[in-house]
Amino acid sequence: MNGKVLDIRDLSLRFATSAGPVHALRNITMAVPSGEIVGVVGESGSGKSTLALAVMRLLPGNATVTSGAIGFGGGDLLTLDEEAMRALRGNRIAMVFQDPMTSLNPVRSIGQQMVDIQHRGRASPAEKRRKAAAALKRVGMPDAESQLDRHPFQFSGGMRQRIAIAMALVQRPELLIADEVTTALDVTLEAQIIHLLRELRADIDGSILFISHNLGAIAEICDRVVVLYAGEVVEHGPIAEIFSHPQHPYTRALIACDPARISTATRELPVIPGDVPNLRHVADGCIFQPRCSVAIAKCAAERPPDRDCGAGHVARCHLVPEGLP
Amino acid sequence: MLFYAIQRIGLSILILVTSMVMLFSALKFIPGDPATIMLGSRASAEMRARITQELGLDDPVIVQLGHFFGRLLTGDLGTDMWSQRPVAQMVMDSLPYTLVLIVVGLGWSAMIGIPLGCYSAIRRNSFIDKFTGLVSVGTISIPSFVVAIYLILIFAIWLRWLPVVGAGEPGDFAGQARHLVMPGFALGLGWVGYLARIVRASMLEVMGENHIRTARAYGLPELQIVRAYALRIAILPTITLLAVAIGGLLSSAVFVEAIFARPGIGKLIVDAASMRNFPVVQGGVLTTVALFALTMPIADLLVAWLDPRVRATL
Repeated sequence: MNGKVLDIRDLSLRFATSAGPVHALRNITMAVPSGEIVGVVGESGSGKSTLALAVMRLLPGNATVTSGAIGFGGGDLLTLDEEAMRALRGNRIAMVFQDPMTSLNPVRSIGQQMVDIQHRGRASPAEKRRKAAAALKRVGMPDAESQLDRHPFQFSGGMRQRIAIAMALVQRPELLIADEVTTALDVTLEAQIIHLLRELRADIDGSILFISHNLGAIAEICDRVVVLYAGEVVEHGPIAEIFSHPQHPYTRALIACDPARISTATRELPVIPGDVPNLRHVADGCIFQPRCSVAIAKCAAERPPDRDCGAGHVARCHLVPEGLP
Repeated sequence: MLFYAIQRIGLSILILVTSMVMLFSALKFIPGDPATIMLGSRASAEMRARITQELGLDDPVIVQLGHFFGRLLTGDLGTDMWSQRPVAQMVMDSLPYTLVLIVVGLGWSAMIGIPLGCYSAIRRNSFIDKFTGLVSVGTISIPSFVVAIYLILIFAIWLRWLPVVGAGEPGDFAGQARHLVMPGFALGLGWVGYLARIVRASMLEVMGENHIRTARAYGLPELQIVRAYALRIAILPTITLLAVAIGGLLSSAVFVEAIFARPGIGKLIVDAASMRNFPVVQGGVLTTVALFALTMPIADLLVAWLDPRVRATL
């Protein structure tokens, strides 16, 4: 169980825009150990979805990877040709998207779409259909067989997300990327979907990259968490470590802002002052320094190093003492 | 679905009745007394009066309109003032030539326009895309009779590949088909641009939707994504446009039939109008209006049937 399913090393990429290049991801290093669920958390614009799309190699045309490697199955995804990459998609890496209302094709039936994605399989159409029905059953779809002929618009948002997850599971991928899968759903459905993913986790031998801005969801389901801020990994480690001993000021602020922890007595919403920085010009110092409440002079001038806090917990901050453990 | 169909057909009937009233009154208001035209300027006043009475032209307009509708309901479009042949018969004889011409014209424009639009959406800003932009403007702005004349010059006179005029001998299927190639192309070319543009815009929109990204995330072959996932949706507004195109083609068919001397309904109307042969004009125009009024509900029903989202709401 010590192998890494996904091993991202020093990944940087930028988007070409009319206002100049935007350095959306900078020197990302992170991994998904096999059989584990790794959460990626961060504000909007921190690069979470870009990271997921980079792994799938489905970035829009104006994106350029400038450095790094995405290790998967012993190779580097970035060096694969398009045909080889296409062979992996849906088969060994599957992705579930944020908005279930728009992520399924509106004019093809659920069954057609679930058979379509088995296009590499040699099974008979009837066998593929059975497999699709089985996947639907696994995500808790009642009367799965007869649902295959219905179209996405005939299902509610929560059901559609179950269908999307079922689709992702049909080929039993080694890695499942769940990009904000609960964001578009209301709280009850969110809990159901998270519960479902936890159940399925025992069912599939795969690993999950769980992207969310919702700390509660991350805490429920993940083994490890990676905190992304403005395109940089500022802290990562085992889930219990991060939640009980957050080291980076950004992580602390993020946890303080979690709606689940807000004190109702003061009736005050905690916020992180300021905005995600403009990534056209990346400053020399710590990326979080302009918004950091505990920053010192060094923070503006010098890039903080990754400090090991022990137990696989790493934070990128000047204030974390060296050799903490 | 049934209610929707009834609603659409009801609307078409309303269009048809309105156009009949307008057509009837237009012919009443234009100068020129039909009796005089029939008999010539030297006819006596008595004869004119008799003909006027025979044709019911001295009845109140509302009564004439009533008679007109009454006859229409029995399929009687009146009688040709010159040959005394029933107009319904004349229309029926010429209609097939026009219908097949329109089908071929639509076929040409769809065959060129849809792939061009589709390809230029997928390869945006490529050479083909820019070429399509140019072709669109060109085909929209060049009138079909100009195209027709150049086609005749090149393919019939210089290259001698295709026959110049007529519609071919009855029964000679290959000959009739050869007679259709140029008129159909001249007729359809004007719609290539519209079709290419709308397919391109519609495809660009669909290809940017989330479900296309999902299809890509499952490694589906690009051809399948374009055909089964995108074009299936992008084609829906095109079908409505094709129905509108039939209306446009019905009117441009007049020029094309005149140039290629095809005995179609357009030529029938033009010839009759130049001789003030009112019943024939009326019958011909009514038939074309009816055709168009029929096309729209058929297109709407087709779109509803092809789009499961619309189908379910009916």
